[in-house]
Amino acid sequence: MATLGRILVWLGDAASWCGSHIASAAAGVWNLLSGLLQPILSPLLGVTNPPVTWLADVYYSMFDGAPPAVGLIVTSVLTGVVMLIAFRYTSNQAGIARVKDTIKAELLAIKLYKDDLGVMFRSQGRLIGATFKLQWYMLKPLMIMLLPMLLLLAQMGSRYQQRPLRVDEATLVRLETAGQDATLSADGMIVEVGPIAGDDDVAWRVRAVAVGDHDVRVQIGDQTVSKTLSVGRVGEPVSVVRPAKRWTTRLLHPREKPIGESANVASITIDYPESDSWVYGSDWWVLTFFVVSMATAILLKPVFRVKF
Amino acid sequence: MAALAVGVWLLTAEPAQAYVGPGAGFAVGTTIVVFFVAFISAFFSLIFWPFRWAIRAIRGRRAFARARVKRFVILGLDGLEPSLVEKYMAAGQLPNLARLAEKGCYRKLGTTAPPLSPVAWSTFLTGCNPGKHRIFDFLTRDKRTYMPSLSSVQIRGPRRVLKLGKYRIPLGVADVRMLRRGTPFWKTLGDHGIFSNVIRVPITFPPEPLHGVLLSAMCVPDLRGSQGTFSHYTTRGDGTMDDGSPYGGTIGGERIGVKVADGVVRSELIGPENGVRSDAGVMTCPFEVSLKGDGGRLKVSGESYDLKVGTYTPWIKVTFRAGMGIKVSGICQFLLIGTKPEFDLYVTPIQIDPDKPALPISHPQIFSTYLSKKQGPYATLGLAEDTWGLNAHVLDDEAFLHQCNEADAEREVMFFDALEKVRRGMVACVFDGPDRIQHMFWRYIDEQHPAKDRYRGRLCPDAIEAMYRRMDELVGRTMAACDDESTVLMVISDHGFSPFRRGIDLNAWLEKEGYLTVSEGGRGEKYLRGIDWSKTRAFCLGLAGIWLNVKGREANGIVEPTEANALRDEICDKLTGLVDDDKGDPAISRAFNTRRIYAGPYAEDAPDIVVGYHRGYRVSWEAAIGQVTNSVFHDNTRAWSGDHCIDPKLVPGVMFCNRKIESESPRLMDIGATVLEMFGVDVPKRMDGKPMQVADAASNHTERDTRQKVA
Repeated sequence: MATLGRILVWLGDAASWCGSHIASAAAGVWNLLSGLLQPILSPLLGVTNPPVTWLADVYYSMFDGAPPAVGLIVTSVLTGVVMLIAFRYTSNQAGIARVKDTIKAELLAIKLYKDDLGVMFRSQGRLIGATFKLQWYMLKPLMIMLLPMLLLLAQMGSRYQQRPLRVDEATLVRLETAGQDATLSADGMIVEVGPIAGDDDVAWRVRAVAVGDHDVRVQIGDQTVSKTLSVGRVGEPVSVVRPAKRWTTRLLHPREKPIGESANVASITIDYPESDSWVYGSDWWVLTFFVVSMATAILLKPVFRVKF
Repeated sequence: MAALAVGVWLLTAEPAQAYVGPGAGFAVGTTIVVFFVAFISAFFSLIFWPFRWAIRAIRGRRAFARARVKRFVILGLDGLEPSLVEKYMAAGQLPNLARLAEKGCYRKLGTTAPPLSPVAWSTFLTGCNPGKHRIFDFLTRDKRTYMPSLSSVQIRGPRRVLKLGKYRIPLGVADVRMLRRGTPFWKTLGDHGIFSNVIRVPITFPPEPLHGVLLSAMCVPDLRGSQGTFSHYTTRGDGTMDDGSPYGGTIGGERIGVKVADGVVRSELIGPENGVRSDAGVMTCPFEVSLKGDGGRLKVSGESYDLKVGTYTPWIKVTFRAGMGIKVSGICQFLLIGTKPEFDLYVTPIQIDPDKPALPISHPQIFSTYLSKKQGPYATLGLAEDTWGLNAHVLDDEAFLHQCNEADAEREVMFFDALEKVRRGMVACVFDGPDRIQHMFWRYIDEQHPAKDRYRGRLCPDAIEAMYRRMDELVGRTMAACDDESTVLMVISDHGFSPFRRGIDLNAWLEKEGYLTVSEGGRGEKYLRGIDWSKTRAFCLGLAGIWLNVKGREANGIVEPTEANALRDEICDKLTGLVDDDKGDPAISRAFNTRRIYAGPYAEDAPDIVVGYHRGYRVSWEAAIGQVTNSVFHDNTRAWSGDHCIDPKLVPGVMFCNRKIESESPRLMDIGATVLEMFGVDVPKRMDGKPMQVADAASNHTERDTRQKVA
């Protein structure tokens, strides 16, 4: 038993080592990719975000007065349908069907020829190969759907991930900048603590005092940078970050116009509280969206004759 | 790759943005499911493998110790004719068979009486004479009604049905019974832990359990329950085809009149009887063809396909809906024969979908699904090549030949997959192409044939020669896959071939000789409906022989059982040496009193007399289906111009083996016993076949050779 325990510990360590190295390698790849995409996507998102936000606001206005879950579920269902149709026309359906048949055949081969280990291992190998081939077929539709899905998810995230502050509730306002002196002022809130300067940011603790969308103004040098602070309006979207030029921040936080290039500020962030519903609250909304959109797609798969 | 991209995203993005929608969900979900199922299946297979291995080792310990072979491969080429094999080998056209003969051996292989595929292959797989396996012909007769029925299988609906108004809910599956008796040798192998992979060996439907896998062949019905009913959708009336050939009528198929309206033809595929609604008749599946130029667009079962004149579609899945959500699916191919001046569309018999079979066509049932997933849809009908379509002039030579070649190509994929999978055990696979092609194209190699030059369209005069070369190439590929010393490869045919120029109406002959009386107005009636049973002592039905109308056995029998044997001998004597007066040729070589040639518990079920025709002759088409005509001899003008249902000594099969074999006159019956002996399994006493002396690989000489050398 002791030997078995040692083996399990060793296996666990090995898995952990592999996982950490894979993660760091993946992060490296991602950073490289992100740098390459920056000159293309950053200006592009600057153009696309305002109309997408406007469209999202118009769409969500249909659910004014309804519980947030209604909007989430309807959006998930519609997304499932649209993505299903998009998948059908952007993917190699014949190729996917062939690979899926191969996968099923190899699974059946394992059952039929279970007495022969050689056959079983060969089938396992073919299964892995077929799975990679399937992923290859999925790549094109995934790439095509990626940007619209991210734009949609960013809009949904602004509605479901966090909620506006309540009156008398405190939070942090953080300015990502290169260590310059800054002052903060706003209507509808009071500054309790700050500024507290870090290596590359400055933070204040503020307390909301009045309902509404307020302008938080930060004076930095001779420039003023502002950001919206939402207080007390349940169900309204919030903008956690006002981005500057980084495309990933622009993608994930589309509601506010990016900070000008000359401001020497990377972003302004307000730490809104997390939503606390099990259906549409923080992170749960992603799960709800995943389950409902996938269930819709799977249910409607035969109707639209889609293979995935 | 998509999963990798999603993985990168998951590792770097915030949780809320990690999911990028159903696009990635499809990829990730599918991958997770595949890996999970694969892992679970591999895990359990590995966990249980030692136990299975131990059980196998215990069950087969004697066989393991005595086995002289790891793998035995039997490649069946149905109907390969020795005289043609020898002719083409001498001409250097069959280099692989010649090499096989040189390395190992080539012999003529004794066949069965009668030399018919169902009889011969039943004897092959049981190692018994027909008196023990009960297959004497394709057809047998119902003793009570005299109606013909399939000899090897009986298919009925589910035994229990819940009736709810007009709806009938089946409480169970169709009752499919194997009528062949005897135990296949692969069952005996399995009892000793030896795996078998059996592909399309005739008379294996319904599939019987075995240690291994099996795909059924001959007698697997189409979706309608028939042995293959093609459909011909046409705007033409009765008369002739465009090429002037006579329209062949409806045997083996049906003609459905259609109209072209605004360039569109709409009609329905005919499916099986609706088993759910009592008032619904047959199920149908609508389709339409939009004509455009020299082709069209076919819409059926929610999908669209291009049609081009003279080109088959791939296998198309068609669905028939019975109601209450119950549906049956089948597969078929469409062939647009012509669009102007007449519209002609041929549809193959709608076959059981191997992916989701309506009836069990394999053991285990998932084996047919496995093959379908592995290689795509394939023909499942017992007689997959539509000989009736060519006989009826609906198909031309090339269209028919395409079916034969495609069926063989599908079979080859299955066969080589089996060779790859089975490293220890038995593989048997039968290719039907040689049989069908020789049946239908013998008219090109027989100068005297009455059907020569009667067929038009795209002709294939070299079809037989090309088929022999194609089979030789198949043998070459098989030899390459079996080149290890522990594999015995045997290439066999169940019978040879002969011209079929003249048909003998045995019923007319029996009438002429006073053994049969036609009732008033009964001449020409099919299925023995025109016989006056009160005055008939013998009658012919099927390809093989003659039955007596025995009192107490047949419903209206008049022959006393005590007189039956004398009557059999009397008729045999008269038939033996029968001469075709019109041609002056001997028509019948000999006739067999089956009570003298069959032994076993089912010998009494055999036809009383089996007729051994001379080369060039066979039972007439009319007599085979129980008709009585005015003359005994008829020219055979059908495309079906070659046959093998004659005297068995005139149509032996062939046997090639990659090892030396001592026996000078091996029989088809001996092969099962030989396989058992090579695997170290005792040959059961019930088997009539005897093991052949097969040489060991190292020396490639037989035990007797060794003994002689030692002596």
